[in-house]
Amino acid sequence: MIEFRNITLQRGTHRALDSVSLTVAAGTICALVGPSGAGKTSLLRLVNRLLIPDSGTVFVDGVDIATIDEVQLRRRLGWVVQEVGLFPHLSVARNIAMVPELLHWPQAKIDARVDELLQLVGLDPAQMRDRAPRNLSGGERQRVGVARALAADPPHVLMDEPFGAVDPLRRSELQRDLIGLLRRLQKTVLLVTHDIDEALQVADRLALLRDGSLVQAGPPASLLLAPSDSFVAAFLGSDRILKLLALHPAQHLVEPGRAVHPIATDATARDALETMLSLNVDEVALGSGRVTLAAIRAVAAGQAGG
Amino acid sequence: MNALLPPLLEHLRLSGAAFALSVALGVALGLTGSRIVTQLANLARTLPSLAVLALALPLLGTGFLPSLLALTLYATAPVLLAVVAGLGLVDPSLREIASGLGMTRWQRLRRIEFPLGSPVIVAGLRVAAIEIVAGATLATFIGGGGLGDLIARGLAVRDTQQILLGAVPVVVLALLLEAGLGQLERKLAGKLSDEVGA
Ligand SMILES: Nc1ncnc2c1ncn2[C@@H]1O[C@H](COP(=O)(O)OP(=O)(O)OP(=O)(O)O)[C@@H](O)[C@H]1O
Ligand SMILES: [Mg+2]
Repeated sequence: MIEFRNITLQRGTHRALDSVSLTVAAGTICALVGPSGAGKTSLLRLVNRLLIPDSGTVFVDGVDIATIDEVQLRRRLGWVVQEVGLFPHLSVARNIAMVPELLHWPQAKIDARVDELLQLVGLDPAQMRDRAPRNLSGGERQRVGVARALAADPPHVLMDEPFGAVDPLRRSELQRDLIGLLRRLQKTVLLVTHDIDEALQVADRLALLRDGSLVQAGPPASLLLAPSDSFVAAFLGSDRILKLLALHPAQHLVEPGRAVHPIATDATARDALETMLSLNVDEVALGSGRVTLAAIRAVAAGQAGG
Repeated sequence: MNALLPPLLEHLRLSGAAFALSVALGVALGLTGSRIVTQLANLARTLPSLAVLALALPLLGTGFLPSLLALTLYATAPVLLAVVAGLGLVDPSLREIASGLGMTRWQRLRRIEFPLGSPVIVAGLRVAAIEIVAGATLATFIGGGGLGDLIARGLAVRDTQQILLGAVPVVVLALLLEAGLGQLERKLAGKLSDEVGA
């Protein structure tokens, strides 16, 4: 668990963070979003003590981090950053092995761990181990970065725009793979991103910052349904109801009955709506039941369960 | 040969000791990263070695130790400046990531900053080594011995052969250092810009 309590941070003459309180529950993924300069990176860096708050407290697993050794703290926090993250003079394997080496693991254990991690992040160990970082694609580099962050199995992972340097086509694949992995491993993740769609897709909770203040935090669906002000609404985009529908599996809306036009079992409410509009019908078939336009309306109005 | 060996050994002993001391001192001072230290080093770089020896004479007296001290002080500057320059080249974000991964300052230096700065640092070591070997020739003027003795004696009696007996080994030593450390420097630089292990 990571908790910020009443954090204020001054950077130069500028107040980068202003009484921010936020909790990331253990094993959940929280996305920090907001315009450039809002204080996302600053907030992240408070966790591994690269920055010290002027007032307020950061807790990791219930412990005030100001009271513990910073090296010990950082070993419990995986850290992934955009672009330059890998050490250029070390091979992929030695980059990943960095923290285990610092912890003096036996070499055989390190080697096995490196191969295991490479596989975990979807890279071929035999092919990648001895490569130099500069000979990797942006996506491969980012996968290695995540492998390095996970090397000593830290319970928490901090990510600062980890997919920012990857081309948009590869980004969603990479994001699905790596965030999916972190979720399977039940890591507590704090993810900074510029990409609101990325945040909506992967996060359990969204925290929206603006000018150093936390504007709204909550599950993606609740922000989409009930943005607290016009800034949040604008930030989420004018298509936020469609985004909301896209988060909702059509499966959850199935009711008994028959319909003519079938949709895929993994379709979202948005896909269902798309099909209805394009075929000019009020219901579509899913499995042995149907999904109605009324059910979709209820989702959009925030009245649906599931 | 018998005439050459004792001064040659003396020269090597003086140079080796001065090199070791100036590297230790230069690295230690370089790590402080202090601006004043750097400025002093830059100032020291402008002094000719003969002047340093001349200054050493009234202050330190004559013999091996004063020569060693003078050479060490003289060669510390290039080492120190190279350490500062080499470490200064390291991308600050890499330094930060190293810290963020939980490295102590010393681990960071050893594993990240020194390797990344090594081509520049080795270049500084090369300059220092050559200056020491050449500068040690002047130690004879404050009774420090070495190959300079042969040259000075040769000059005094106008014996060209004697002069060459002292001068040629100095040149050879300097060239060997240039070649050896130069190669190491290129290898390190290459390692940072080519594929690792390939
Ligand atoms: N090293 C620094 N010194 C002084 N002010 C800084 C420094 N770094 C950031 N700031 C200021 O702190 C504020 C928050 O910056 P921060 O990097 O946390 O924003 P961010 O939300 O991560 O932005 P971005 O999306 O552009 O990465 C900004 O106003 C920025 O100008
Ligand atoms: Mg940022």
